[in-house]
Amino acid sequence: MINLFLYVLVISFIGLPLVVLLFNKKNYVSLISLSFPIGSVIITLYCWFLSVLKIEYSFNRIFIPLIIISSFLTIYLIINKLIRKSSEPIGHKIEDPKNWKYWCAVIGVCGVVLVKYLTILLHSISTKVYQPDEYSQWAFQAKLIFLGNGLESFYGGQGFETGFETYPSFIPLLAASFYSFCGEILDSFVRVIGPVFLFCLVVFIYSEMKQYLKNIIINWVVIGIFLTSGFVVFEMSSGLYADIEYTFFYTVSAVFLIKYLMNNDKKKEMMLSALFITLAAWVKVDGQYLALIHIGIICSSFLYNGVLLKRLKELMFFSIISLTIPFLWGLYTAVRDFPDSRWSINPVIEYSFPMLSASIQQIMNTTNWGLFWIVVFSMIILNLYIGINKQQFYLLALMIANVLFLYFSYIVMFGEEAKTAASFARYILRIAPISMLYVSTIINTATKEISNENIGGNSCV
Amino acid sequence: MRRFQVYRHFPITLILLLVFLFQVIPSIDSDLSLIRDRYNILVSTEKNGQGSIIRDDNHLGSIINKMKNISGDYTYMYLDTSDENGTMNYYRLRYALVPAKSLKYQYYGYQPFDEELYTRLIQQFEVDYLIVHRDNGFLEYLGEPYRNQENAVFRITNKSTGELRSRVELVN
Repeated sequence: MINLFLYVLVISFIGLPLVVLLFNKKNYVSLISLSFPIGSVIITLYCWFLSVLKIEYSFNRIFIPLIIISSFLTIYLIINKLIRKSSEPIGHKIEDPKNWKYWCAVIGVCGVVLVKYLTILLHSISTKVYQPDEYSQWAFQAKLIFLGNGLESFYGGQGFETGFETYPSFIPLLAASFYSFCGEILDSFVRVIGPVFLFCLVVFIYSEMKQYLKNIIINWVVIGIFLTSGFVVFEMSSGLYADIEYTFFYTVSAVFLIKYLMNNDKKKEMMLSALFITLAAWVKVDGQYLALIHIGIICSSFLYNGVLLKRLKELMFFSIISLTIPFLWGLYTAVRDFPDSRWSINPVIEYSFPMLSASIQQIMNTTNWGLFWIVVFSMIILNLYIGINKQQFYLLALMIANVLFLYFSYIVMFGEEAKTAASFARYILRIAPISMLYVSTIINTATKEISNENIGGNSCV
Repeated sequence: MRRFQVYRHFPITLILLLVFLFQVIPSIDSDLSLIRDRYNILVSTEKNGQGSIIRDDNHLGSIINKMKNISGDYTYMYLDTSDENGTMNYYRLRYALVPAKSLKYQYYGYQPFDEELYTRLIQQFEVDYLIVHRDNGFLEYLGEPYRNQENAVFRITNKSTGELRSRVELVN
């Protein structure tokens, strides 16, 4: 158990200096939420680099150099006083009455959210890997990487095939690094990766929601609705799946993209958005397509504002950063002759209607998602009624583009599975956090409208 | 009016709170029980090692134990019924037995037994062991005393052609 805590601490420590360098104006809450994910990216990319150099993995080769580099960087940052408290306030002014009833409600909601999180965490680390994708893909590859001391030990044929060899190896490498850290295969404790990412996602999304809606209780209730929604969030967060990690990086990227689009002078936000979308592509192959969606949205925004030619350089810069990892990974797998993916292009247009029907059934099924998407759809209707502002438009555009991309990939690549929209309820997880931000913005706008109407202000409905 | 301004979040808070409670109330009891049970498992794991961890491959335990006694490199073919459990059981076994090699075209291991096909696969992939979890017709083919002996492991004594029945022996 001590290994588990130490591993999470060490990975967070490895990520901390880079997070401080990238987000030196962010508050400590954001630093906590980003340290483990960034540390996990550093360690997996470093393992990949070792594989490129054909160096075998071991504790000393993986952890010692990274810990030393992080220690030097941390000392450097402390000396330069770069680790400083945020210039932004950590908490915004709470507009609600701060009486004891209010705080009791806040504590009650947070308590239930904590119980749900503990359920996910304890369910996760007390069970050996058991889900189909864990056995057949992620945990299997991790075990082979650990036993073979290298990334390429799992694609040698002879029954080791997974059909996903060309898939980015973030999850197997991270799990294998945990085994290297412990010196043995602990295939229950390795599942802690999911809950830790979920924690980081919740902290990050809450810190962002606070900027949209200054109400603690609503923000926590919305997060609570997400966490308690049902099977999908529970299973994806407690198992060795890639979805929650992918969702984390995608959400961070989307948040910075919107900040960039809302304020075009923020070049740093553009760079961070591109960086995190390329990290999402390091977790799941879909990330590279979502990078194209980002590029499409930026392009449309520039076109609409008539600045496309003027800002072409920016767009190219974004494209290069966001597609760096997919390009390098594709090159690596091609040069090293990795087996082909089991996916192939096989468009089946006639499955479109059954697919639409099945996908709606999946997300409206309360076992999968509770009432989460019903709340989001209600908010879309409310949004149409009160009027869509620029921020909501971009959030909505990202959500719709994602859903359209999913439908497109079903028709083009999924063959028979398109008919049932296989795993749609799971794939839609990626836009759940930005949907929460969207809900926050609408509640914020709607309550302002109500307030304006009642004090005789002009409504913009 | 000021009072309304202060409480203007109230209706939406109430609706969201009701949704939240709708989702939480049915599962809160089982969540608390799960936390209690799993906490005990983790405490027990601290004392007794990973043996306390929940696993779903217990039904394959006897096969896994037999195969773990076999040293050196080997290739096996896994036989099971053709339902969904057959595929999952293969993944469970493959995961447990790594780095042992298995047949590339495992699909045939779930199909009804076909002597000619199996003979060809054994030769082509130099299969050393046949692992039978559920009989797909192979035990029936071997006849007595192997009939109904599920969870059995057979060593291939000779990979050349000829009657398969005479080229396998049971591993105890």
